[in-house]
Amino acid sequence: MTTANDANLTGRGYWRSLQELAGSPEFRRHLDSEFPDGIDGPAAGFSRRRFLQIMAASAAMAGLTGCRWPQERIIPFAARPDGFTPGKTQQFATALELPGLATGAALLVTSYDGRPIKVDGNPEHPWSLGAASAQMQASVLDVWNVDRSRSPVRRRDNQEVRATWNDFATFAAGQFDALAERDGRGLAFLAGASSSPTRARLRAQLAARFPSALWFRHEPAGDHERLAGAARAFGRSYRDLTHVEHARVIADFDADLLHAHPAALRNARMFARGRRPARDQMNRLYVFESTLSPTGAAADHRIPLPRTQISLALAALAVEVFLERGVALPDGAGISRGELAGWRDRVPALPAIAALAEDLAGRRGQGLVVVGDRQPAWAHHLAAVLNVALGNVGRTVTFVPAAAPDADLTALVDALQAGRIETLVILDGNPVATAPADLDVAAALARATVTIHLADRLDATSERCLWHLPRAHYLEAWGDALAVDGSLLAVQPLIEPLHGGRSELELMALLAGDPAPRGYDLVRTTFHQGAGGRGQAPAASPSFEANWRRFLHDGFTAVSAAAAQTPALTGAGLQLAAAAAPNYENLELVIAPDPRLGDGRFADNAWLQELPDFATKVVWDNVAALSPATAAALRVAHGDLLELEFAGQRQRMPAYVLPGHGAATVTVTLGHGRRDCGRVGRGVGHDAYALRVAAAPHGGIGLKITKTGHRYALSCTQDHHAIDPIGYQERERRVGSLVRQADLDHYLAHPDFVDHLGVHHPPLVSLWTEKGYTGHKWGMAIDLSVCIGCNACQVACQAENNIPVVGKDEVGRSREMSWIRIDRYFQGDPENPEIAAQPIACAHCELAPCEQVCPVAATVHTEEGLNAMVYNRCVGTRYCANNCPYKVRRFNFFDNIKQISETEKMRLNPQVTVRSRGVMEKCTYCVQRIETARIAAKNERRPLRDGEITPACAQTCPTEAIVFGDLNDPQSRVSRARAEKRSYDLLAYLNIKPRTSYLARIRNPHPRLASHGEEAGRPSGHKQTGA
Amino acid sequence: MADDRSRTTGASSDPVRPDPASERVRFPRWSNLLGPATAVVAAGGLLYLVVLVTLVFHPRNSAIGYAPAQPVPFSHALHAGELGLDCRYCHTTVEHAAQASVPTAETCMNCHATIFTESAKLLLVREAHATGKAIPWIRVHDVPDYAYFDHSAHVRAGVGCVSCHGRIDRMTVVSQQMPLTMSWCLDCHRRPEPHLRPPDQVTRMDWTPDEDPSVLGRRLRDVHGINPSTDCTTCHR
Repeated sequence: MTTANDANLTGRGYWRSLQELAGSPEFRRHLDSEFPDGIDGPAAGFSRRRFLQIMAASAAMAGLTGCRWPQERIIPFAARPDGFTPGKTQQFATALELPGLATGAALLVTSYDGRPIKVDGNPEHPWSLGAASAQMQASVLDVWNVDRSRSPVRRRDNQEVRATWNDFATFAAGQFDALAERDGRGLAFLAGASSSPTRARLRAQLAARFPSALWFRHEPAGDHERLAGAARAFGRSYRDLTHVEHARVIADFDADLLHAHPAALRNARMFARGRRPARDQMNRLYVFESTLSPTGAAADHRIPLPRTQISLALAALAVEVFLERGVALPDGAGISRGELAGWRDRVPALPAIAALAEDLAGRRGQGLVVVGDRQPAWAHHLAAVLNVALGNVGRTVTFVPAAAPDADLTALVDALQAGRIETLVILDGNPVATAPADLDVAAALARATVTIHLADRLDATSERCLWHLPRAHYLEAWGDALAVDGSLLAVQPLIEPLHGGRSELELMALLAGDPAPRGYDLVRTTFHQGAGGRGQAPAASPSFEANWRRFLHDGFTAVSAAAAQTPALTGAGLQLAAAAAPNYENLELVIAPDPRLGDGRFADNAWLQELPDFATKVVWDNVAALSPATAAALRVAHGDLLELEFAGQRQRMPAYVLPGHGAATVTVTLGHGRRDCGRVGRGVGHDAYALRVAAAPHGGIGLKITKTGHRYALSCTQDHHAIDPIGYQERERRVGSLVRQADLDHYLAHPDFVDHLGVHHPPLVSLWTEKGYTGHKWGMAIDLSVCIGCNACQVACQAENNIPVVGKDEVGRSREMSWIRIDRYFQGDPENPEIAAQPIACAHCELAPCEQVCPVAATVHTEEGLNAMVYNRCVGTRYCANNCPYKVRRFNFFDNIKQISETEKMRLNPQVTVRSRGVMEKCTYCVQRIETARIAAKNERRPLRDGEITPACAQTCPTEAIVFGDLNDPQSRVSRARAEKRSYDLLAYLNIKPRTSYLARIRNPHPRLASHGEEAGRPSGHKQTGA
Repeated sequence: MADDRSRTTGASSDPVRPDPASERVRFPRWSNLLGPATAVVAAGGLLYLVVLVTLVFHPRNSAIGYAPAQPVPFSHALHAGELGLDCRYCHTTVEHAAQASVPTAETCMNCHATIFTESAKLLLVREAHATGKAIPWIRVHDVPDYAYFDHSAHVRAGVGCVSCHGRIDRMTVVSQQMPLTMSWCLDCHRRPEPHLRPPDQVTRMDWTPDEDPSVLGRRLRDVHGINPSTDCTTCHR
């Protein structure tokens, strides 16, 4: 067999994994089998015999139940609430506090018959703009989780005894009255980070009742360094507020500005708006990072570095900007030119730094330097100095005051061990499971006589506390939060607590002496006092009521622009803390929160577990990621089970060889491997907390890895539907690259370059009678220039379309069900490749190959060109999936929805049919939304407006990369997108006429660094025929 | 494989067995009946299938005429017929939503707070009004969950209530009058003219057009741009 993939090494082709690039034997075997491994087998732990039994039983049951149509009841309201229409969804504004960031995200939650079923961004809030991240959207699933705790539990003689809230109130009254008499000596609170003004108010009340009580904060993935850096630079804690819309040059130092940043949603939107491919209109993004993030993939220049070297790269930038570019040091910089010169030989020399300094110095007030939470405080301080010096403060970055963080978990453990705490109230978090491994929280908890833990479920911490109290989900409780810009957000419940949980606020009020606290009154009072009122909120005041209603309706109260501050530098000394670079003998460990599960709070969320990670495309697992060169040097192969040893702690993890990873660095993510969560996440993946030590929460240098000799099976979606070398060659020859991109200069010189990246095929002759489309003609355009691969669309689709979760084993058999997937391609040098993300869903081909092979006409075309799937006709031949060139059809091998509990079924979208076993399914362009909008327009006797129909993926896309509309309307956004020169169809040579087209990706590299120059993205064999 | 087996187990060629003839399989006499019995069973099965299919698809066995007893003996004949209440007095959302909506107890009590306040038949209604506990009505017109029928689309287009529900104003107990099958839906989607009326006449049970219904229907189609689709996605999502 030819080794066609050698051609890739020249940098012209795209590849999805190193296995594909190298043509490894495993990959060959995977390709050579007619069907992917295991796709035809039964599920694991499911013998053929058992399968037949179940089949027989279900056939018998079908016969019995088929005799009579089930009787349905209609249960009308006895008194219908105002504005409620049975069968219609309602939307409520609420907010979610992002784990660890003490920042609220404004949301709009859809409720059907009183059940929250879908979470979207609040389109009116300026820092959400209608977008929501994958985590925010998946949070709705947690309400319906069956493993949430259902009642308070009191521990007596090591026995768990079910109790009631009344029992607790009685207990608390005695306990806390006694404490109040002692001024609260021996009392301590442990809480997460929160921006809630009501919580701050209640904390003050608690402090008044218990003046000597201590307060600690635990956030596994917090922003301590950011706050500490700002405190050093400006004299108090601030959070930086990025205004990406004004930024032309963005320098991102491990901040993941577009994805994991507190302001990521707006950042991504504004970044995308600044990517119009025209001269002097495109921003330029430099990213310095250790592992591969969506922001890095979107960057014009991505520089992979070990984490500890990133702050040194920032120092190198400062040296370059202040010493070479002659930018004046600002007042209060805390460093002199002489001291800076001393840094010169301690910082790395990177060509990108010189280019970045040139860009930043040339665009004063239009640059932006951001630093991530895992970088040391001095780096945040230095970034502030740079932003001040470059005139960016007040334009691309402003500051919002933040509360200084409280004492951390280490201080709490010390206080417990010293016997200073008798009563501990844990308001949030799971410190036993999420503490650094060298901090024995469990033993420390045993030193307190009374421990009270408010939590979603009986977790590792609850098991060691006297009282466990069920916590209300944020969709069940009243609350408030501050958005990243400081605006006040309403957190309002969409449903009564399902299991009698109470919120943190209600518990705090109870302990503060309020015998029957109501979350509603607590938040209302805060709102009243925030507007200058005193005491309780008035019961009957029309003006207050109007403001309050407005607040709940909008979900937020906007802040004036003046709330953002531009503080002056204090002149605190700036010290470079240089770390030695890691090498292959002395590796660096990076511990980061998981992009999907966060710090573990979402570990029991099946949507997020089954979401392929952006970089690795691994589901239901986490890995130890390392670069190809590092793996080669350590003789580690992809999928080897490694033993990691760091600071005396050990953990086993599978190796994942990730192109573009920082050298001599291994990244592990937190949140997996939980033993104490519900049945979804229990034992899934590997617990990275086991490697964490209090002194180095983000890891550090000194990691040792040893091979265990075992292999570990990862379920990874990136090689599904791969193509063999001959096929790959032919595809390149006939259809050109699937991802097309060029540098801005090349695009401006050759606006029609996409046509030359494709292949000049002979005129396409249709074998079919093509029908015309006179009415609507639905189509979609996806802009690869701005797609950052953040996965939000995939979760949006899952929630909207009732897409089942199938589990790790099934995904390993290529049976994932997601209707939209994000293909991630690498190109070029495996150590620092260019990365492209490409969302793929059903393209609704006009001459659809699937329709041509269906023996029962279960997939047919509508008058508007939708490729409709008729579930009732489908007999499950799967011919259509085999004939689909995009591989977007998904087959229900099992009754996936039937298997979920009745509680979880409450979250299904009633507007979309639930598919049963043996049925094919795929993207419908959200036909339910098309029909709903059409009926509404017809009822009002008006035509449909452009933008009225938005599929779930397009609605939530933070960068507006996905546009949907009517191709017969030349003014529609999708028609205008298609009319752009860089628009191209995927696999156009097949003459299938897809309705989804793509806009080629345009990069804007610095002219001196443009590695491919004018040839970027062009197949080398095609130069002669090109422009 | 078959050859192997016959060599090793075949009775006739086996040298160990002394008397092959005594080992020969002899069918008992009754086994002669197996042939005719099989034929009878086959014929019976065929007949059974025919009867089964006929019964299942016979109009009598479709849901037409399904009239379950409701928890409250509400009479449409009295309210919509004799008293002449408009359908929309109770089914308030029929013009704006997919569901016509069953009235709340509050709606009933608008009148029954003063009329028949002691009636035993209204016990459940009063109870619902007092406690907020809903009346569990039984659904009569039930289309499958994968069919998404929208009342507002039909009512706004001028399809009369009577077209699908029959003479509700004459029913003491509501019963299903139309088959509500897909082919029945499609009949109208393909040729809606006979069922169209001016939108303000939709709820009139006894309305008859002054002119040829199909001529009027065609005119209404043109005026209101009524062009029902027969695409699968119109009703199935």
